[in-house]
Amino acid sequence: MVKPHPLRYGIALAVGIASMAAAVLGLVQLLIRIPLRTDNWVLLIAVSVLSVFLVILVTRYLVLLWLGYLQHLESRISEPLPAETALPPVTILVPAYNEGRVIGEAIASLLALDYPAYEILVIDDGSTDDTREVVARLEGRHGDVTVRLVSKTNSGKASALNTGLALARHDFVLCMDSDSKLTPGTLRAAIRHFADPRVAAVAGNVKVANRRNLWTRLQALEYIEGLNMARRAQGFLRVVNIVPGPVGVFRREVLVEVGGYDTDTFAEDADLTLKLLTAGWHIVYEDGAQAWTEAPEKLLDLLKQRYRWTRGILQALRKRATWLVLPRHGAGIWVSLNLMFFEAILWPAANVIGNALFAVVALAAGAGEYVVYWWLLLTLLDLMAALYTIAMEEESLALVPYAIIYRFFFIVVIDVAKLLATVEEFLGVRMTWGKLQRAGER
Amino acid sequence: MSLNVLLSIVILVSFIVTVVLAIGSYTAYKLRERRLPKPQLVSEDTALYFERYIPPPKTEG
Repeated sequence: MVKPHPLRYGIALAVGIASMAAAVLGLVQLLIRIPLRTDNWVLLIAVSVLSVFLVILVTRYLVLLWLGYLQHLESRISEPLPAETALPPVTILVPAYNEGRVIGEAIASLLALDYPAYEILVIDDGSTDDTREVVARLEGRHGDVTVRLVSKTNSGKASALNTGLALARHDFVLCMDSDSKLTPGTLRAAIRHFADPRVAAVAGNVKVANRRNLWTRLQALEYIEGLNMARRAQGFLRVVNIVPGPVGVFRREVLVEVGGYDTDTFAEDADLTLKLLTAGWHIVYEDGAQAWTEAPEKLLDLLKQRYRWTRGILQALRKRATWLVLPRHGAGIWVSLNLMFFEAILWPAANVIGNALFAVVALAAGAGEYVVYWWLLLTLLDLMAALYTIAMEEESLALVPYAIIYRFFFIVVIDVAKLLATVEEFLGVRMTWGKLQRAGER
Repeated sequence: MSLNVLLSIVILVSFIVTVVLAIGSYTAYKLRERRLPKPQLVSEDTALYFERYIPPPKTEG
């Protein structure tokens, strides 16, 4: 568990907000100083667009950090964990397809969980490697914990999880990926949220385990500064819009009630989460429920992952398009869905276009030297956000310097891929490798 | 040339190179996926144990 240090985080937040305010003032000064001729309407419109972009960028950061801070404080002052006898038993579902090399370690991490009553159910999704043999060696009793193995014909992760859901013996299920490892306090941290009968799911905290090269270190920063920060903020409002595949805890009867996982999108975790949200359930975030996962180490593999995420999220949103228009069941769900749409489509486009537009405007106005200030000030924003979120998660400070190339390198690469994937989704381009996913690849 | 102008040029060029790299990488990813052999499609409502019979090519003589 992360130790409570609200004062330290409060100071970090204050410093972060002060630095961002200074950065915003600096950026506004830059925009004002660009020499504009009153007859040059194109330039005037471009500067206006840039100003709107900046306002959105800073507002987004501030809102996410503020809500995240509130969630952090709330989680620290909430009721202590119930006594051991009050903890309900949990079934852990581990869908696996050709994971023979890593599943042994994943199960070892599960056997080390600090929790009194749980079973581990591995669903072998028709693996063609030695997954079944590796799990079979671990099958049976391990003290109070039981490891079970079921095998089925290959039909994809969602189908495997549905099989596990049908065979689970307990009222709560933890769904995870077979290449992830959970920290010992995960179940104990997550289960306390179900004391609230309105909560159907708890989203965990996913961290990158293989920080071996530039791409994986940048992803480690992205998980902390981007994905977890957003999830933490949504958690305060009880409207987390993606319970991540590597770690999520659910009420089993609610999953059964909504029909389990659908197999018609490429992001079954996002789709299920939206299903729960639109059914009126609360979904919270727990940073003490941690899964360490293997991130793609090569650029093309990273693009493959993001391609699937982007198209999968768009498919899940498209199924609920009417929910984007008018608020139903409260404004929180409407905001959460629109935020998902914003992050998936609008914001990647704005990031790429915003940066390019500034360069064009600065050059057109004969003020090319301002580009360096633009870069400096936006990078300062990122550095502050990185420092703050890393402090909040008590993560490695060695990740902070990567914020320098985060926005103008990593995010550009990712956002361009998201944009192109979005175009393909709207054009209805067939996901040629999509059947691979159905065949079990994750 | 002032330091500001020099740095601005470096940043601009880096940004343009990154965008080109991003588009190039995406294209490379799509090409790689296209070259991969198509997997056997397995559906829950498809018979698993029947294969279409394809007669062998006729040989002369």
